[in-house]
Amino acid sequence: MKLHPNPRRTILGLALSLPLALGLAPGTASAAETIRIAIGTQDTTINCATGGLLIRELGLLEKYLPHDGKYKDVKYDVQWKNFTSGAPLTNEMVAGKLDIGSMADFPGSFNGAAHEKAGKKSIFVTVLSGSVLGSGNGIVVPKNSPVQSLAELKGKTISVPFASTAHGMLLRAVKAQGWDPDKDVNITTQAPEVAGSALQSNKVDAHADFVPFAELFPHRNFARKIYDGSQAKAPTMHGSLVDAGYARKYPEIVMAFLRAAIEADRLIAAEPEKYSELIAKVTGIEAEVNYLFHGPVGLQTRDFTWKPEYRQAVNTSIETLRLLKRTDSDIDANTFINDTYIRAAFKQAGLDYDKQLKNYEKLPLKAKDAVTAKPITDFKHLTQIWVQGEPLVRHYASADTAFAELRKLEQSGKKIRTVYAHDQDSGLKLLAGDAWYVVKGKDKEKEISAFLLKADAQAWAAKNKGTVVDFDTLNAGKAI
Amino acid sequence: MQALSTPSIQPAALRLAARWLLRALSLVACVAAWQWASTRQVDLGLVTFQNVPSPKDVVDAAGVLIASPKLGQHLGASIGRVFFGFAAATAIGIPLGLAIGRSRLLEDLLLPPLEMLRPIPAVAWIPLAILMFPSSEMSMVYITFIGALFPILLNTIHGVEGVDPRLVASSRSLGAGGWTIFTEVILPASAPFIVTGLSIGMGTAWFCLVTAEMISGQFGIGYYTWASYTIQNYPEIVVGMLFIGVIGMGSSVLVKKIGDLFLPWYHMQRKKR
Repeated sequence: MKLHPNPRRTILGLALSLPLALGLAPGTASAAETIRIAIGTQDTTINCATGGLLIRELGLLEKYLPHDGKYKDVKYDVQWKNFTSGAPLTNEMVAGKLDIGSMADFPGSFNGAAHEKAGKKSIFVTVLSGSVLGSGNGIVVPKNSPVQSLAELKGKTISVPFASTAHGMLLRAVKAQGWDPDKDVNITTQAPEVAGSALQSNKVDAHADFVPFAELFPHRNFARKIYDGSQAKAPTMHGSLVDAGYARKYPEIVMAFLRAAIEADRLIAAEPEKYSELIAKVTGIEAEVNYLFHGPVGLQTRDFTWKPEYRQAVNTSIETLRLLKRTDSDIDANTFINDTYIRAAFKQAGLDYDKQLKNYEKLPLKAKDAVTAKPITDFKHLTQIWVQGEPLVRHYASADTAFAELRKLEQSGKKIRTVYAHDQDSGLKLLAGDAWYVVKGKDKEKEISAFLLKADAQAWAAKNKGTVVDFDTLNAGKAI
Repeated sequence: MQALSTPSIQPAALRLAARWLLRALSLVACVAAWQWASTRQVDLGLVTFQNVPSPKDVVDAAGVLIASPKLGQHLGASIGRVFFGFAAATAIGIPLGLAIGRSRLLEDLLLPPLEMLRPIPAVAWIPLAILMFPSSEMSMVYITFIGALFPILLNTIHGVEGVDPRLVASSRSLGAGGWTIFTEVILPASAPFIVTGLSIGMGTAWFCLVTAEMISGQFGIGYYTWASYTIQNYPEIVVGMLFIGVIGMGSSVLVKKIGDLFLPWYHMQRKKR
């Protein structure tokens, strides 16, 4: 009984015509070469913005891609993939699905080792952002915790994303306290996403994390920062890696990527508020936190040069890698870090690499005090207010003027997005809401100094006969 | 009739031994193929073995884990979390399934929300699990619980609904009351399905283990696997996978065997066919 006339012939016909149809499809018969540029980004790790988010959102890469010489008839296939941490990004790079990726020093070392194990090689071509002292990593406690310093966490549970740059900082901080990481403190693993919930429900005593979480969680009002990475004096950086084979084959493309990053840096340096908002729109990380890092005198410094401190950060991470992985897989930091491409990109862009290499200044603030209209030169007392609805942050040369203005603004019904203060000793930018203040003198002689740690505030107050208060008391304007 | 000579080994035992030998040879062949593919870095286009760790690397990593003093803590932590989640799923799933299977009202009330919750993957539960429960351990047990619950629940419902109505009618005509029908007819008839559900549920609880242990990592096979992923120790990831696979399979078979002890008539029935 025939169900269908010649089903075999129909199938054969389809099987033959399909490749024919595909062969005639537009593009497949083209003689032009297609070069893939697959870039892995970490959007939520906002200090990688110049190596990923900004380039992608502003279409900067296409401006610098070569179209001459051996790239004359080339078609570019630019692919962007986003990740929340370095490990899956490395996984895809090793599997050959990504050519360029951005991550911190620690995951970067694992990236180098994983490539080596797979018979390939990856190179760390540039820094994107970092802190030679270690800011960017931090330790937070739940908002209602009585803990004010790391020393009070002895015997408690601190969670940290495993094998991250924050993990390295935590181990170093624990060592500096003289504790045994296995006995005196309970270190567990939690990814930042999970830690947020854990802090909100008081499941952990403390949490250490990398950019921007140690500041984001306090901004979102369920945590408080009690330790800044700079206290561990362990430099930290985020940078970009490229597959070495890819870089050798297409050095001009790597240069184009770096030129795009340099351009992104120029743009955000010029208009930090605007691009902080862009980052907020894409990632959901509030602009106030982005500005904390990317704004002038920010917590970290955007930098493309391989300063000796950043090389040291990579070296430290390679040593810690050996410890954590329990393998002898060794990558040589000298061949792993390759600055030839960024030097060439700087030259092409007309910038001086060696000059920037020696420059340790944070991005300077060129602004006038919002009240006195005098240019601000001392950044250690700089206090800033971001008013809801205003596109730009207001700057004040001292905390006293700023707090007076703050009271006026709130009384007039304006909503305040956030207030930034600076630690008087270290100069680090702080979220004013969590900082400690010492008030000295009265009325016209009043001097307010800000500190991250209560202990520092108390020490200074004792020496200078001042009173320690918190933000709410100060803002309430009660007589002290 | 007398046998010509009493065979020294029973033919049935020989057949059984032959079957086990075949299974063992099959496993060996698979491992050999894996060793060949990974050391030769075979690239088949769609699937590639270029970066897959070889059996030898995995065995070495397994050796390190077995020798490590932490193995006991890892296994203990994981088995505990799976066991408590499974126990909770059994305690809630079976009664719920029995009730839903018998009562149309309960089915209409309870099944829609449960069916909505069912497809939600374990990973998506993590943030809520942390917020809802008083400790990290309970949050982890919740994840394994939710993994085990639905197979147990649905198989129980299926079993209860599949009871031959003639059996119920006959027992009613013989004077059985509601409770007797339940314990003497419904329960035994749906028992095979319940046992299958328990066996599957045990497997899915292990399935959710890695996800559960992402909540707070310190001990556990799932944590060990995920931490190895973070530091790109691929052989260790495979070791973790194999441990979960073997222990999961073992506990699943154990549940089935224990369940079968309650179903002697079911196996007699099957053998007769």
